Amino acid sequence: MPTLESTEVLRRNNVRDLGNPQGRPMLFAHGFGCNQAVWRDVAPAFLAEYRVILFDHVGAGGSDLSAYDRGKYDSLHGYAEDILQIIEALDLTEVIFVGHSVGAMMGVLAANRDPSRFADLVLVGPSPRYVNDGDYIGGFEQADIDGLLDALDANYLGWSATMAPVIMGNPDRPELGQGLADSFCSTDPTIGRHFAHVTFLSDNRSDLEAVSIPTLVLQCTDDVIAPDVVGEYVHQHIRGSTLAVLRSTGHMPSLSGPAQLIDEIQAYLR
Amino acid sequence: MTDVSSAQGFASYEALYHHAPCGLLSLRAGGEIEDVNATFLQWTGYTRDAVVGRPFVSLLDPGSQLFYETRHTPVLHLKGEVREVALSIVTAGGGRLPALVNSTVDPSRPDHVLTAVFDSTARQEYEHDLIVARRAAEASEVRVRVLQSASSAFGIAMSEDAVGEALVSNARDAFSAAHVAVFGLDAERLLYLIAGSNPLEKLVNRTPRTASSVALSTEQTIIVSLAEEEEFPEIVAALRENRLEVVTVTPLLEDGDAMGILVCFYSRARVFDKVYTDLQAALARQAAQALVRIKLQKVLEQFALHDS
Repeated sequence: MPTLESTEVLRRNNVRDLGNPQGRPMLFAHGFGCNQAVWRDVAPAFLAEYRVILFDHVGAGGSDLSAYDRGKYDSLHGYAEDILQIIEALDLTEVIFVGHSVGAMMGVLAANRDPSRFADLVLVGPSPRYVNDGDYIGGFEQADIDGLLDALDANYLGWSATMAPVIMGNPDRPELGQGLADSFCSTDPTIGRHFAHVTFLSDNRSDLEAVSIPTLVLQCTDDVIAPDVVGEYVHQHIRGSTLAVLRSTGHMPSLSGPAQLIDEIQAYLR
Repeated sequence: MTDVSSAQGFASYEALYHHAPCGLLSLRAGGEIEDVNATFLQWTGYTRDAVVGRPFVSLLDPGSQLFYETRHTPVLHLKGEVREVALSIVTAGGGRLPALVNSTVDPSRPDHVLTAVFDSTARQEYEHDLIVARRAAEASEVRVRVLQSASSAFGIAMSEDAVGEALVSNARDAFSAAHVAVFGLDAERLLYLIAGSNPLEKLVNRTPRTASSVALSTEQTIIVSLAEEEEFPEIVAALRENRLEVVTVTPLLEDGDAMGILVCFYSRARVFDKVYTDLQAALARQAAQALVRIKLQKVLEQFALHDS
């Protein structure tokens, strides 16, 4: 793989290096459908004690869309490679990786490739495979994923224009500043569709067994995207992992129940 | 419903709520339905008791659930409102109600959500046709773009390397392949790398029964995925080691003569549909023709050299 300048990596992934420069690094990875703005209500709680690093996956948010290489990003390994490059560019060690949804699995792959950089993995609503397979329950059938692709396309017909860059001030938290929420959740439709394929049609079950980093699995209540059985599966297949269940419902605890998410992460890190 | 307002000549708020020409719902912080109007119940066939207390997302079909949770919900939280989201609601009878949904955070209770549902049945067929047409147009655009770009690059290529490079870059672009390699066949019918990268390098020419020899003898594209462990154990082991899931080997054929092979490596399993295989075959044919031309040119140059 060609070596990239650190500054180029940080620009490509719209990396924001915040918080306490002397603190242990916490790297937050967002999931499908949004960008680093999903950490808006969570990241501030860690700024005083930790070095907080936020970024957008290539193809999302303020990332460099011209860096979207369909061959590279055709599997989660391409994204895992980027995570390792960000860690390298900032020369981070003892990383506490917090990943949501598909972002959690990217962290698993990155940590498996270079465990020496990671201290902890916090997986929020992870799923190693969304489509049912024999005895394995992922929660969805192939036809359902096709339904999502239809829903994405139907919504791009007229909707994406109104979803295009939205400026959202954040006066209470100037440290997170502008830019964070600019253009959140707007994506190029072609990239969005490809990312949906990669997210929902990947099978990373066999990668769970290889995890050697202490791991916290956070399962949401009534999460249709990553149901309880999937959280339990991830917990069972990552040796020595801890499972905690969040009271907040749905797949977006960082937005629907940030306080409890913060509490659980802090309790685990203590 | 005779009350003060109707006596005064305008609809009561209650009548407006229940009989509005759209479904109206209020959702609690967790997304459970708190209240619902009569129009929504009439359109979907549910009783009030059947839906109150249930998460709204549970009324959606699975594809819409995925969209609702990954797109609608974050935008609603971050922006405070979402407009004209196309979702499909599962009715009490098991049918589908295609709907456009607007949601806004309740201004008086910020963790509650107000949702309006518009029946878009009449538009559905038209929109579906639009989507199908757009997908077809996009697929055809990709095909035309790739074939044009490849044929112009092949046309000006003066060497085998140039043909190989053009084939690699166009195949990568067209198929989202993680790696692409192009091989030629030497006088002893052994493969040698012309262009691209081959992550399974150590395997080529060494294993007794490689995918490439099968592709060349059958003149067909051979697809080896992790499931083919029994038939191609070395290839599957090497794929795993390189975090790859599939490799395809396509012979470059011109008039029944094999000029080499095109090898595409994928990091994720996929369905190889007809659009894919047709485009791959067309690219391989064009490349083979260019390789034949370059070979002939070389032969002519040799003749010219000996003549003088």
